[in-house]
Amino acid sequence: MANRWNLPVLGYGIGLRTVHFAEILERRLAVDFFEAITENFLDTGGRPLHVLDRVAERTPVVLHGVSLNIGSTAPLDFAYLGKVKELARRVNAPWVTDHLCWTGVAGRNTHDLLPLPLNEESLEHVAARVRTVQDFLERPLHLENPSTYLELSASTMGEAEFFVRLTEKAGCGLLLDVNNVFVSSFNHGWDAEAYVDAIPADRVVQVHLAGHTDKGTHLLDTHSDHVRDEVWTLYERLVRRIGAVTTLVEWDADIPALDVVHAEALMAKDATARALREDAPDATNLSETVDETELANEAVAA
Amino acid sequence: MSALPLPLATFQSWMQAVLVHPDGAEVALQAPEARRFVDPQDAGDVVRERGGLDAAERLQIYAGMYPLRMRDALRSDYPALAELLVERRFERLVDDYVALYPSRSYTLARLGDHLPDFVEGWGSPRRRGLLTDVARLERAGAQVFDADESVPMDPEALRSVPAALWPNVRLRPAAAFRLVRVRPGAVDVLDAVLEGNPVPEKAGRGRVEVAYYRRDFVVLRRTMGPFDGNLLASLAAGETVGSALQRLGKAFPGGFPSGEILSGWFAEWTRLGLFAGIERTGENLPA
Repeated sequence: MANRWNLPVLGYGIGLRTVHFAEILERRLAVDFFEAITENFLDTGGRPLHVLDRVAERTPVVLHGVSLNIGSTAPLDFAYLGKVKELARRVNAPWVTDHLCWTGVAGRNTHDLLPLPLNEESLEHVAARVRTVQDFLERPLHLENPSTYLELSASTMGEAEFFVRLTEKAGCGLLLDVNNVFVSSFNHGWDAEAYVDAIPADRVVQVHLAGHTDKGTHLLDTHSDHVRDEVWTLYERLVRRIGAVTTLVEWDADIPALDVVHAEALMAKDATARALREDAPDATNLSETVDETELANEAVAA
Repeated sequence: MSALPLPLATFQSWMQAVLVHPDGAEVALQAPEARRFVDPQDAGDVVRERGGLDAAERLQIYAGMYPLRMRDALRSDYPALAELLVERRFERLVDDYVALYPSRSYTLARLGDHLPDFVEGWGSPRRRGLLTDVARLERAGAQVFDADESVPMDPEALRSVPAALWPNVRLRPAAAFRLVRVRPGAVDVLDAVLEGNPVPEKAGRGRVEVAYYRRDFVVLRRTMGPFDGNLLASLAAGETVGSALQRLGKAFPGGFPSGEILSGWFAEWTRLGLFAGIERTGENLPA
C-alpha cells in the first residue's frame, strides 16, 4: 500500500557514517539509499559534505535529524531550519525526518531524545510546530517514535494513538522505528504488536531497524548490534499489513564493516519478501511489489 | 505539593534540571534547580513508577547518559587531551566544563569551542600550559577539518603585484587555514600521544607558530620557523605586508631575511593554499 504522500519506496538503506566514507566512495556498493544524520553535515565545508555530495549524485539520500526539538516549549530555531532546508535542497532529499521528542529548553541542548507527556496539550503543541516546519522547509517532515525509558502520569493516550492523531492534525507521516517500538514496549509493558497494528498503513513513510542492549531492568536503544529476532518478527508483522516500505538499518556504535551493515539491510529485504510471500495467495504479488520498489528507486535516482 | 499535572513548559524545565545535574537524579530531585518546579515528594506523581524502578531511577537512565554523551563528544574532538589527562581526570574536566559551557547548539561539534580557554584555568598549574596548547592544536585541526572549501590564490596573482604596491597589500587567509602559537613541546606531545609513543616530559621554552591547512580534504600541519612564523602570524592576523615586515624587522633586528627568501616563503604559502586572495585597502586584486 502506498503512503498518502505517494512518496517512493526507496528500498533498503544504511546510515552514511564517517568510518565508511572511504569505502563508500571507492567501492560504489549498490546500496538502495543512504540516510544522513542532518546535523553532521550542517556546519562543515570539509570532507563530510564532499562525501555526501558524491553519494547524493548517484544514490537517494534522506535526512534524519536529532536536534529539531519539535516537542520543546522553546521557540523553533529558524537559523537551524534554514540550514536544514538548504542541505535538503542540496542532496535533493525526498523527505526529512526527526523525532517526536524534545531535546532541551532555555537555550540548552541535552542532545537526548526526551519523552513528552502524551496528552492534548502536547498534541496541539507539536502539530502546530510540525505544520510550521513543513511550510518552512517546503518538503515533507516525518517524525520517528523514540525509545523511551519513562512514562509520564500526565499522559492520557498511548504512543500509537498519539502518532495517529498527530499525523492527521499535522499532515506529517511516521518514520516507524520498529526497534524503538519493541524497546519502549518492553520498558513500559506495552503490547508491541498492538502498537504496530494500530498505525495506519498509509502514514508510514519509512521504517528504522536497529539493535538494542539489555540492561537488566530496561532495554537501551544503542544501535550497537544486529537487529534482534523479536524485532525482525515485529517488522515482518508490519510489512504483511502495509507492504514493502523504505527501510533503514541504523548502526551507530561499535560500527562493523560496511558489508556487515549492508548485509543487515538486505536482511530487511529478505524479511519483506518472506512476509509478503506468507501473505500473498501466489508469487505474482511479491514480484509486483518488488518491481514497484525498483521503479520507485529509479524515479528518485533520476 | 506541586500543582499537577504540570504544564508542558514546567515539566520540561524540571526534567532538564534533573538530568543535567552533576550528581545524578536522586540528588537532583532535591536540588533547588528542580525543586523550583516540582516538590521532590511529588516526583512519583510526575513519572510513573513501573517495573521495579521508581521515578528517580527512571530519570537516572537519562541523567546517566547525559555526561557520557558530553564526554564522548569532547573525547572525539580532543583525543590527545583526553589521553594526556587519563580517563578520570578527563571526565572531571568535561563535567566541570559542561557545567559552565553546556551545549547551546544543534550540533555537538560546537561543544568544545571554549575548551582550550577553559583548560588554561583548570587543574594543576604545573601542566596547564602544555594541556592548553595541546587543546589549542586539536581545536585548530578540527576547525580546519570543517572549514569551507576556498579557491586557493593563483601564484600568478602574487607575481603580478607591482613592487610599489606590496607594502599596502593584505593576504586573505583561506577558510581552511589556522595558525596557532604554542610551546614547542606541545607538538611533540600531540604527536607522541596520537602515535601511542611515550610522552616527552618537557614542554620546551618559547613559542612556535603551527600552521594547520587542508589539501584534498586531508588536514595537514606544519611547524614554522621563527622568522617565517612571525611574518605569517602578522599576515594571518590581517596586517599589510609592509606592517608585517616592519614587525619582523623589530623582532629580529640583526637577521632580516633577503628578498629571495621572502619570495620563497610567499610562494610556498601560496602552494600550500594558506591564502585565498590579495587585497589592497578598499579593493580586491585578482586572485
